[in-house]
Amino acid sequence: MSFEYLEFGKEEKDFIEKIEEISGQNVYSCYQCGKCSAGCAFSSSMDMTVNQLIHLIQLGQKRRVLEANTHWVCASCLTCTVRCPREIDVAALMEAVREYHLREEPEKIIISEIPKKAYDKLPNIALVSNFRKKTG
Amino acid sequence: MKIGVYVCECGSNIAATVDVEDIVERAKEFPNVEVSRVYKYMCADPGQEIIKKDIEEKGLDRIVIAACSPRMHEPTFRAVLEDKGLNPYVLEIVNIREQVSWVHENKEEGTEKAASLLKGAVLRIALMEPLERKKVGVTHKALVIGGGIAGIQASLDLADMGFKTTLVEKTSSIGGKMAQMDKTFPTLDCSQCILSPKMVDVGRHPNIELLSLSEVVEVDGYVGNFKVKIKKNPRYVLEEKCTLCDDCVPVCPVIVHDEYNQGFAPRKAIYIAYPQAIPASYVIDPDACLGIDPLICSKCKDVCGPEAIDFDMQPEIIEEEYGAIIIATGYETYPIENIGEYGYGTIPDVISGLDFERIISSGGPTGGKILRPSDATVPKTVVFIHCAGSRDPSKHLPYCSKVCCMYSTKHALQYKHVVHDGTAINFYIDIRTAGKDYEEFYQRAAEEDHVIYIRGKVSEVFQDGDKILIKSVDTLTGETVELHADLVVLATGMVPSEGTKEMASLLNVSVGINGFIREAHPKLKPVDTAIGGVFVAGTVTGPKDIPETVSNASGAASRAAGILSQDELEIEGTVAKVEESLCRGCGMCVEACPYSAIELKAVNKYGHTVQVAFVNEALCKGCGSCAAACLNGAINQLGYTDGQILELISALGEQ
Amino acid sequence: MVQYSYFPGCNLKTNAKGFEETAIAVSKKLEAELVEMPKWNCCGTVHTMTSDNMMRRIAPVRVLSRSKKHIDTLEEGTTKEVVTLCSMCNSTLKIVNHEVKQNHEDLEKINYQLEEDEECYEEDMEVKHFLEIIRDNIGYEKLSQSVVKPLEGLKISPYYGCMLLHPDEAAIDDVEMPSVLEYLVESLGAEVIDSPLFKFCCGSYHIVDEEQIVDTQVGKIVEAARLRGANALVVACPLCAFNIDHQQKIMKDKNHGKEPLPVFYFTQLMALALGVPLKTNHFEDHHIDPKPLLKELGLTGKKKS
Ligand SMILES: Cc1cc2nc3c(=O)[nH]c(=O)nc-3n(C[C@H](O)[C@H](O)[C@H](O)COP(=O)(O)OP(=O)(O)OC[C@H]3O[C@@H](n4cnc5c(N)ncnc54)[C@H](O)[C@@H]3O)c2cc1C
Ligand code: SF4
Ligand code: SF4
Ligand code: SF4
Ligand code: SF4
Repeated sequence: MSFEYLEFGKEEKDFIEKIEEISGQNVYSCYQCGKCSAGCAFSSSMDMTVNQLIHLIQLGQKRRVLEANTHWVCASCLTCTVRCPREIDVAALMEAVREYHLREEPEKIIISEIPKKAYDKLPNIALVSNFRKKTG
Repeated sequence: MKIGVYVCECGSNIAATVDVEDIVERAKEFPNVEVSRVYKYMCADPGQEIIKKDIEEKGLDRIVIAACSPRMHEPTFRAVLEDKGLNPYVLEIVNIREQVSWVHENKEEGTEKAASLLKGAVLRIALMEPLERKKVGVTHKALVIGGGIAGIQASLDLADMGFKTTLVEKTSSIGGKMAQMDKTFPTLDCSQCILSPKMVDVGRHPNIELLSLSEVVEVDGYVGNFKVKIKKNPRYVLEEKCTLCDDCVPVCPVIVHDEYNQGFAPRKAIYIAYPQAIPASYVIDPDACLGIDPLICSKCKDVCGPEAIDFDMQPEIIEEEYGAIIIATGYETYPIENIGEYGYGTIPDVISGLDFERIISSGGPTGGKILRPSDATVPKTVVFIHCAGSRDPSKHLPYCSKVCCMYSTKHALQYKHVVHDGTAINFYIDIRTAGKDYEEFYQRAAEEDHVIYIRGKVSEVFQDGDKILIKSVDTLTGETVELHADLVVLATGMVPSEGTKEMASLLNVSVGINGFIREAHPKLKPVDTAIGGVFVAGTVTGPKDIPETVSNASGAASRAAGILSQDELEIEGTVAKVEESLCRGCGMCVEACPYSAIELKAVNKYGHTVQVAFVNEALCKGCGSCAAACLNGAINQLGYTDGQILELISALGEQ
Repeated sequence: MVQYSYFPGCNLKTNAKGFEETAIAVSKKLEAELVEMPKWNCCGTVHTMTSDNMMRRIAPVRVLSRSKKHIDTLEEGTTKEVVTLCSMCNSTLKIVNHEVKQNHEDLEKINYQLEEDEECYEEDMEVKHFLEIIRDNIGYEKLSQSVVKPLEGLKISPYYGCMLLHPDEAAIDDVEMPSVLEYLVESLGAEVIDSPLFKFCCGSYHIVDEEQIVDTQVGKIVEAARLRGANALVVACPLCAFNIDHQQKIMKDKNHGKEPLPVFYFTQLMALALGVPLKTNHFEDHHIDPKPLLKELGLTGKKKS
């Protein structure tokens, strides 16, 4: 079991505010019911569930949030968004964490490393949306 | 003698497991049975008509009905008998539903059991004498004990209904805990602002006699006719003369902790609990005052212009009669110093919820500024620990105190309203917001005021420099967490007050394992007690918030009014009766009676003064404990005499 | 005959030619013709969920503005609706349309950027998916009356995927209990096989760099339909179609998996039932050839006698 020392200083508050600004969501609204994680088709591939990630955002735990793979595994299916009882656009929070990351380090994937074959085979909407989600 | 036997099928409820036709036939052979019949629903109008017709035509004088529990329809059938001019007690109801058909699967066995129960009843009823229902008068006056919001509401309701009401309050002012509160959830309206108009109403209501600094010391009697002794302690200030000028306070040399402010502020020996206190008068605290002795100090008396101070006041005993009593002696907060790991009492910046109420109150010791006790600085991080004492059957209280999730949320929100850039963290096990607009209140605290909620119970806290280190867990991430807080507020649980325990034992009402008074029925009689004429209001029966307390109090008032509005009360005829010639005055029955209905009285027997048991029929509930306890067989339970019981047993033994 | 301004989106010209050609063909048969709008651009495929990124909203707004101009040129264009076939386009255009209607400041900023294209969006468009046109404007009755070859024997599991139903602002039907595909399939004479995974995400764009995620999803989606007796799936999104179609094939080749289920666009089913020439389906672009199944059921070419 891991251990965290919680601080509620400027760094934490700035992070929360930035995520709220990008997503347009109020992260404090989340009461941690977990319905988002329960319905997410990708929870099993996430190292932290969606609601846990949101909880860490509430606590301003920037490092832990950015280290998680949760927001990268998210496929923006929006199931969480349509089901959140607190009317939180959960997928927008995932997007905000991606954006936060990409605005600091713009390349989650290196486009030039994608094999030429893929371009021929894959539908363009797959490529365009992937680049839009994973590059800044 | 002519006995009529009626067997009910209760649809298939009884008929499926008892051969009703068979027992009806057998009953015809029992002694004295004139007629024996079966019907689908005896309790229905046509069923009742059958009995009435038989009484009329066949001249029946005893009725036996085999049906459901007498708890259901005894009053129904008694009315049938009375309607036809029979004494209501020559009726016997045999419970062949709850005691037979519902608990047996085998029809043969069920039928046998029903038949023998029925026979016992027929034999017993033959020995039944008509019984009389006695009537007692009613004193149209109510006593309310405890002047918190519960007692205030109950008194006002009764007084408004026109009943003279005495409100007895132990402290110098009514108001209770609500008077100590700053704002109330979920509307955040100021507690004093909604409470003080009611207090003023109590003070000037023509039907209310308010006795402050008073305690009930003795209660005798029974429903409709309680004889009560109230001890009124001296105030040493004449209520009607005191002009609230405050001249006495500056001159008083004695400084003590002010309990109204949870000890965070000083007060003098002469003081007023708070400006809105009712009765609106100063009071001298005799324990603090230099002796209530003008020779040692009489500074206050010297300056008091209206000559309101009187050191010669003595405690008074007031004796009064009442028709009904409402216990509203409230709660206290759990002594959290018992929770060693939370450091209350040793770490100055660990405070209780009630402490926080005073600290945040604009009328409180800091004038509404949130300053922590140790160094009077504004705390930047405040941790609220839920369930402090509650939900902890291993060491503390097993139950949920119901209001603390809400008041911690209220406190966190109030803190954020004052210290905008501060951090308020609630450590909780579950968030319980089961009240109107409560969930919305909690969600607003998080959403609008950014109160943080972490699921996990704090394990311990300790002083670390000028901060408090919190060791907890975040069960949502599965991590142990630590943080430093400037102030820790414990969401203290509720326990019955000392007064509640005292009144419970004085009035003989039973209490549950947690010390709260037990209601007559937790669902259907929530404001009654097992003692007729004694009702309960507010937190005396368990943790409640203000809305629940108030409606509970109004309920108690209306139940009490149900008695006070009668001129006479009827008492059940099935009471215990002492055969004086057999009584040895041993007093075993006195011990056995759970309702204190028996006492020994001196009588003259054959020229000697001897002790004889005497039953107060108004108090007797007809439980039969005394009859069973008496070794001399001197007590009979009317309607259940030894002879009748023996007949019953013999019938059962036959099979 | 009514004419609609039709926004194709990129894939309808590449991987999903069969989707577009069958759609246009049936639209004519149903007298609700899809007329491709000129000068369209990619909508961006995914809608940005950030509140502050206006750049990504320009492309879809430009589409709306140009579609409006297109409608004005349509002889029989009677509506202010732009119609899409691809669910992703549908969702992206709908959300942006919704957003700019709510937020005039944002729209001003976007219109400022559109000045150089001589475009200006005036909030006067509605975005419709062709399924909505079928349900609300054409009607299932007309659809079933137009059927010349009922799709008897086809047991179709409707797969909505995410973007037809998410988010609420873009949903073409009840978000949790949609029925539009079910009614459509029934109207064509095929049997509906309900699957609980009707909107379980296929893995979407992860196909580019996280193929195994898509495989897991597709495996579950297909298995759920198969268990309930489906012999094919119907979709409305070229990315869902590709992922389910192509990855089934890959998985089968890789680990000798179960017999894959063919995947149809809903317009392909309509084309089959309405007697549109088979070649418009472009079944050659499918990775799992639906023809053997259709043949077995006697649904290709001439009826088995
Ligand atoms: C910190 C805190 C905050 C709270 N905040 C809220 C809130 O915001 N909203 C809300 O709805 N509820 C709140 N509550 C709950 C609220 O305090 C109670 O619901 C309410 O005060 C109960 O009133 P009562 O009359 O039953 O008891 P009490 O207020 O305890 O009144 C009992 C009265 O009886 C008197 N008494 C005791 N013994 C005797 C005796 N032997 N003889 C004569 N008199 C006696 C006492 O002096 C007292 O005046 C809060 C509770 C706490 C602890
Ligand atoms: S569904 Fe909404 S409220 Fe529930 S945990 Fe997820 S984000 Fe929070
Ligand atoms: S939008 Fe992302 S986080 Fe939400 S359910 Fe879909 S994949 Fe999971
Ligand atoms: S007598 Fe003296 S000590 Fe007592 S209240 Fe008066 S001033 Fe205070
Ligand atoms: S109301 Fe909340 S804080 Fe109080 S005991 Fe119950 S769960 Fe704990």
